[in-house]
Amino acid sequence: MKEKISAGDIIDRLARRSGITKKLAAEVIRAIPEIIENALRSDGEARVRGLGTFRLKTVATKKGRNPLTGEEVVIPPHDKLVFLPEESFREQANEEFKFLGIKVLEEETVSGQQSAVSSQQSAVVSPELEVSSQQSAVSSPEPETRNPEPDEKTPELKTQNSKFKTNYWLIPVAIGVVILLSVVFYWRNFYPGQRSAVGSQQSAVGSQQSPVTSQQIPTTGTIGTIKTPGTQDSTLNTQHSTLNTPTPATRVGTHLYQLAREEYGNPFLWVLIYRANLDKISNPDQVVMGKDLVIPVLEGTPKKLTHNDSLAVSDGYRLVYEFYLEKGDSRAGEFKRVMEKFKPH
Amino acid sequence: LNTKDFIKALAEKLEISQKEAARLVDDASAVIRDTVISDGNLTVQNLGKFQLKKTESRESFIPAIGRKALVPPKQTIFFSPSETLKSKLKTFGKK
Repeated sequence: MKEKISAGDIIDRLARRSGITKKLAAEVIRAIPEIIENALRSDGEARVRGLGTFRLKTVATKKGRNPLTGEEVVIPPHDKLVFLPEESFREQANEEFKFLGIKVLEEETVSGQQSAVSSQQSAVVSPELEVSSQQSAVSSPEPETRNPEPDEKTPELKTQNSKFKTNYWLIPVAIGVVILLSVVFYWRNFYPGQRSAVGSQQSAVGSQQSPVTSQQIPTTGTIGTIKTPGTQDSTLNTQHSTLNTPTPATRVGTHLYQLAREEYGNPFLWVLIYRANLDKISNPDQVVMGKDLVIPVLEGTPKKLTHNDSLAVSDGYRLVYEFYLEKGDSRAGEFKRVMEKFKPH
Repeated sequence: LNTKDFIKALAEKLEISQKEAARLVDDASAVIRDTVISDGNLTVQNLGKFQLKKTESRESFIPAIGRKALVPPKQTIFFSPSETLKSKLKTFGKK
């Protein structure tokens, strides 16, 4: 990067590009600011093709502070020249990033625990060692069937690595996460008894009550068939009915925002579900797993909220805000802002 | 003042055809754009300084989904008017 480009360089480049004399190019470069200035005087706005818009913006009276003395001063109203680059200009500046979008980051610890729990559930129906050997073979595709979160993450990381030149550090992070997950799987499967006394009891019950399932798993040694068919799933669920009752609305490892996206088509409204199920959801960050959740019905539509709907959403964000405030979480402020945004006028 | 008027004004000023003026405006814009993007900054006399600032990719909290997300890097174009232009416009504003 050069320190500074002189006016002469620009004139040279323009002369070469347009095939005109340097004299004419210099005149053009000199004339452009003049025309802009005249236009600003007459209309307050000047559009230059291929560059953008120069505009005089009126700044109202405002209070300021003298940075040296800290004294409050009143800044009188004045005009300010702003430049709004044309869309093509902005696109050209961001050419190298144009394929990049916002990537949602996953919370590893929570999803890791959840998938470990679900793998424990499968361990209930079959002998421990066999399952753990399956788990090791399956450890990476496992999330595909059990837990949707890590599955989404792997392709994301791949695309990031190919495009983010600077983010090559994501590779070791991804490897670390996979190792961490598999370690958690192993640990849970070798010591399922530590998890809870109920678990070991249930494993005994499971092997007695449903011989069908215990036969099924050993025969299905491959990855693909780990996907539990609907019937087997239901037997599992009935076994665990003492622990939790899954609703049709929730799936294993569903986050509130995901649920809101499915239910309302708008993830913003997740606070409504949180608000209606305060007694069941202790932490809004947590994965809601197989909990009997109440999905509040909107008066209007997700796109057009009624007054009461907005109140409810705003109140939901207030609850989240208070929750984070209590925890001392830095995100509290963000929720307060969203709360204000949803407040009906 | 729209783009057509601008070209007209330039054509009158330099006593060239409007077609030629349009071509020169496009070329001048392109030169300025390319220079700003390749060099990061550019000062045009009597107009001001164009600057390119880069925001690195960062983790940012997105309230819509209630969690953090990776926001891609972005380059923003900044413009600060030159002192001469500012003072000229200022005297006009007081009138």
